[in-house]
Amino acid sequence: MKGQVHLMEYVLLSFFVLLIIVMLTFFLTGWQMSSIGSEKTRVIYNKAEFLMRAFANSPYINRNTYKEGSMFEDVKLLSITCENLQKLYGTDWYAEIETIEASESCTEENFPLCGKWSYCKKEGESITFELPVNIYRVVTGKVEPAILKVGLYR
Amino acid sequence: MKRRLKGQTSMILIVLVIIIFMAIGIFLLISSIKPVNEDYYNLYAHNLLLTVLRTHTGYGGECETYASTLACAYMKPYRGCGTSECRNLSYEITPYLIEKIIKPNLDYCLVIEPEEGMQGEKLVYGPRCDVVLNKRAKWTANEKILQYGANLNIKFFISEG
Repeated sequence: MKGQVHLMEYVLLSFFVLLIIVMLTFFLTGWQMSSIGSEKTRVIYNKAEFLMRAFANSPYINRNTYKEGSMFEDVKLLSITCENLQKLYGTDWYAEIETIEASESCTEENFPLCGKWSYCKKEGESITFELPVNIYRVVTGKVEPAILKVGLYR
Repeated sequence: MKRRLKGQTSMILIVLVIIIFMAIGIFLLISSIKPVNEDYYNLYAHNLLLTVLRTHTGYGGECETYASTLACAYMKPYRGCGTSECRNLSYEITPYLIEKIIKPNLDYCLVIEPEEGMQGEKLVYGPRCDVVLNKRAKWTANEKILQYGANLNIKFFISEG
C-alpha cells in the first residue's frame, strides 16, 4: 500500500512535468506564428505608407511649381490611368482622391465639375492610409482641399 | 515526515507551473500591443496644415487663401473681407475647413503667434484646444507665413479624441 502511494506520487509528478513540456511547446509555437503574422502586417503597413508618400510627391500628378508636393493638377489626374501608375508602383494597390465639395467621379464629359478620381480600385480587404492634399483647378486657378486614400490589398 | 515533504514538493511544483504560465501569458500580451504609428501622424499633421493654408477661401483680396486670411486676422483684424472682418472670418472658416478634412477621431488646435523675439498676442483656433494642448500624446506641425512685412508662426496640434 505504501509502495503504491509512492508510485502514484511519482506518476502524478511525471504527468505534470510532461504536461508542462507539452503546453510550453504549444505556447511557443503559437507565439512564433503570431510573430510571423505581425511581421507580415508590419511589412504591408510600411509598403502602404511608402506608396502614400510616393504618390503624394509624384511629379507625374503634382503641379510643377509646388516643390513640397501634395498639390495635384486636376487635368493630370484626369489624364493618367491605372495602367500608367502600375508601371511605376506595381500592382495590388489602389488610390482615391476626393475633394470635400464634390464627390462625383471625374470623366471627360463632366470635367471640371467633378471631384473624385479613382485608380486601380477593386473588391478586397486592404490596408489604407489617408492624407490631406490640394487640388489645383487649371481652368479657374483655384486650390481646393481633398483627401488622398492609398490602400494596399492583403 | 518524508511523505509530507514529498506532498509539499508537488504543491510547490504546481504553484511554480502556474506562475510560469502566467508570466508567459503576460509576456505574450505585452508583445501583442501595437504602438501608434508616429511617422504617419506627424506626416498627417504636416499635410493637413499645408493643405488648409494653401486652400482658396473664395473671398478674394486680402483673404484669398486661408493663410492670407490668418495673416490678415492677426495683422489687420478689422480689414473687410467679403461681408465680414478678417478676424471674424478666420474664426468662421477655420472649423468649416479643418473639420471637413480631419479624421473624425482626431481633435485639433491651431495657434498663431508672432516670430520669436517679437511681442504680440496669440490667436487660438479649435473647439477643444485646452484638451489637445494638455495631452502628452499629440502631433505637431509648424509653418511660417510671411505677410505685411512680418513673419507669423503657425503651430498646429492634433491628438486623438
